[in-house]
Amino acid sequence: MLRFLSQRLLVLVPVLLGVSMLSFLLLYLIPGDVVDILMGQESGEPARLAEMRRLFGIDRSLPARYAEWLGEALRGDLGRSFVTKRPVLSEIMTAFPVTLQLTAASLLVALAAGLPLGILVAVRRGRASSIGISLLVLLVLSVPSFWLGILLILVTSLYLHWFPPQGLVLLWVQPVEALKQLLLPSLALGLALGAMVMRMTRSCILEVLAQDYVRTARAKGIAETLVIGHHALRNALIPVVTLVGLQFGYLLGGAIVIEEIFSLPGMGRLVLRSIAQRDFPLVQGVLLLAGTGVVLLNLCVDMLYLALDPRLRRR
Amino acid sequence: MTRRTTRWIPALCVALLAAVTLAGAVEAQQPKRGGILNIADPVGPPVLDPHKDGSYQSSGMVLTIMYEGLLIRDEKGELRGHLAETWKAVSPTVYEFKIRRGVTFHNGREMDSSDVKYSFERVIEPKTGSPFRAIWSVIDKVEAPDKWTVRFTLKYPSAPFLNYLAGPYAHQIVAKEAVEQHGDLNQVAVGTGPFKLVEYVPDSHLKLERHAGYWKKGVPYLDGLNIRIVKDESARLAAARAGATDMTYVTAVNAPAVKADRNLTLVEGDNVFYGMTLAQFIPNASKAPFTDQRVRQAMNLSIDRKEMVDTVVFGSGVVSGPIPPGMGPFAVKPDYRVDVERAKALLREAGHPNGFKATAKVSPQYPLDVADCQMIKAQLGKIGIELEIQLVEWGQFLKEWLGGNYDTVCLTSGPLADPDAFTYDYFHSKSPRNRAKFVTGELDDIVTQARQAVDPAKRRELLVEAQRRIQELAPVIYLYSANGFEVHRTPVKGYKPNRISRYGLSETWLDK
Repeated sequence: MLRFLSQRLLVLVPVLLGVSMLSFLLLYLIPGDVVDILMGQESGEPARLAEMRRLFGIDRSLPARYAEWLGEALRGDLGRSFVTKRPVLSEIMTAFPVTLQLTAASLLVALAAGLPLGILVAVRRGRASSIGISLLVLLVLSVPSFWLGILLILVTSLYLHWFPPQGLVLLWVQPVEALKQLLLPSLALGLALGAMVMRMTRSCILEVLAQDYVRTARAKGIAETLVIGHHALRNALIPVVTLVGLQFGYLLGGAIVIEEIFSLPGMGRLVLRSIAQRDFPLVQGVLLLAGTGVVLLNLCVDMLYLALDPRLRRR
Repeated sequence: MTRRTTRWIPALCVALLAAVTLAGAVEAQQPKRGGILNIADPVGPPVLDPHKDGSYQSSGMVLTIMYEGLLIRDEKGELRGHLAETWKAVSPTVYEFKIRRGVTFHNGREMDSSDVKYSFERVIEPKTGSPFRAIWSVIDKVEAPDKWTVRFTLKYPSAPFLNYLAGPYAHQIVAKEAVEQHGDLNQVAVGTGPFKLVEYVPDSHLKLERHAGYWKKGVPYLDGLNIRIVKDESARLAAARAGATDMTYVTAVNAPAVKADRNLTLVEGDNVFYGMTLAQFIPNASKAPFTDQRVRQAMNLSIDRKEMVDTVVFGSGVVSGPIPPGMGPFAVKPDYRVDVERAKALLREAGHPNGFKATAKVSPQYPLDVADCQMIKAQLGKIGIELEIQLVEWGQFLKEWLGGNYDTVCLTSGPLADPDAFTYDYFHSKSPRNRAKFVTGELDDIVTQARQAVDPAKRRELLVEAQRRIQELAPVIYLYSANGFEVHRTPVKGYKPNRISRYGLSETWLDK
């Protein structure tokens, strides 16, 4: 087990190296740099601009810059944002908890809505209620989440005269305020994800219910709830876990559009802002974190498989 | 009691009632103290250092409340003393200012002439890396001969100098010890302004509180400001309607919704934040066929500015020449006529009887610019010029435009403080900010003279002449100047809007 874990963690090294090299190269290739952005339309004397580029250190060759960045990163120093001059790590640590709580809340909504509905629809297959729910879910799936988000804001603010608090509210600092803030965006994100979970759950359960051992269990006289809850669900959940795990990793990178609409200063907004401003150190830091997150998350998903599927444990 | 003595009772009651009502009415006009004003801004300042941030349209929303300069512009646009009480021009290149006493920084220390000297030297110092160094490099030296006097010696006579002292380009006075303690002023703010910084999370929010030691007695009325950065316009509007924010900004498209809401007041005009922008269509005057003046004039004659104002900003703007009409009496009101036949004739003369093809670059981050571009494409199509619109991301757009790698661009610039920026900076062949790569030097003479004419009447004459020549040569096709839209909830009183400063918040109060 320990060997398995350490092997998987070692994968982090080539992944992070690869991610950092690729993003450095891509950023470099994009036209425009931070000096252009900061000067904007008022950009002027070439001597002035050259001097600013020298101050930022972006006048040197790409390999030299990468080597310097790598050296510092290995020592735990991710540098400072070109634009705000704050340490990259503290910028990320300000944005990450916001995204984390949004992602967690959205997943909760997705699972709470998607799993039971999926099971229900699978079990009552063919009935009117099942078809009705499926259609509704299809509708939610077809609607873009940002449209849903704006609609939710409009409805609650115009008709309920309630507008969620905006900005940075952390769950462990101000729980009640944070929950108020999380309600609408997690609904907007979570319902869409929940629709996917529901459909995946439904098809997995249907597949499992057609298996021989289920027929055997029913023949043995086991209560239907136990058949589904104990025998069928565990096997059906494996693809659902994959889906949720992948989505979690994707969402941790920041649900950019939802964060923009609800003014949540999370990773999505941070990434968008830093790319638009060509803020090299910040983009590098964020992508590094994202890469780490994806690798670790895949590891967790695999561990979850081990827990769910005993057949895997024998290896 | 007899009948006689009781007759005055009703009269007394009426008198008392009248007195109470009158007192109530009078009280409603008096500013009430206290309260926190909630503001939703579309962008936030990337850093708080007034000498380093080049994007005054975002930082100006905050820095003008925390920091102050020597002079200030009043509602009529006249220069008034602010941190300086009086000033005089000792010679065409030497100015002397008497510094106001009793001004305290947010850290409690009293401000004096050494702070003024320090601040301007900091801006000019190359190591500071100020984007506005070019503007202040007209200063040869700053001296503080005594505690309350500052003397500026300029390298040459400069008409815009006094105007720039009223902002918004790094004109603010900062405290030396704050810079030395923190290295820079990016995350902290120690100014003399009516509000001081309590908390700042970039891209999220700012909390400001009243500066108890503010030099102007009696203000500010508010206890503090809560500024949130809300990028999405519909979210800002929803917040205003729901009462979550007391003040915010929208664009023309949402103006009707604001007007329809009883709880909201719309303040519209060119002297409102984000107002007096200048929409332009800029051909590359160093690239054929735009090197030919006739081609540029032909384009000038085919664009219907009135139609653009009506369609793109729903009528909330004015047609403009090189200097927006709202800037002052020296701005010439342009007399554009659309003459398609003459335009076609000019093109024929220039050797393009069947028109030509060209690209127009525009950044989708600015939807109004994109709309302008689409209208120009339609209008120029009538004389045979086929424009292909290319949407280019802002960073890339800047690179290509500033590098001269374009045919034409559609661009809007924000309000500028002095007409010199619209003339010298844009069109002098040696100016690094030369807008349209217009380097023939034909305008050099007139714009330099206008820059150095310190006498207002003479300057006005020269500026009028400069505008006439610019329109004739048409290196930039000017379109219109749009209004800004501010939204206030009804309890917000006393705010005097200004297109480049929110200093009016010092006299704002909440009627609730």
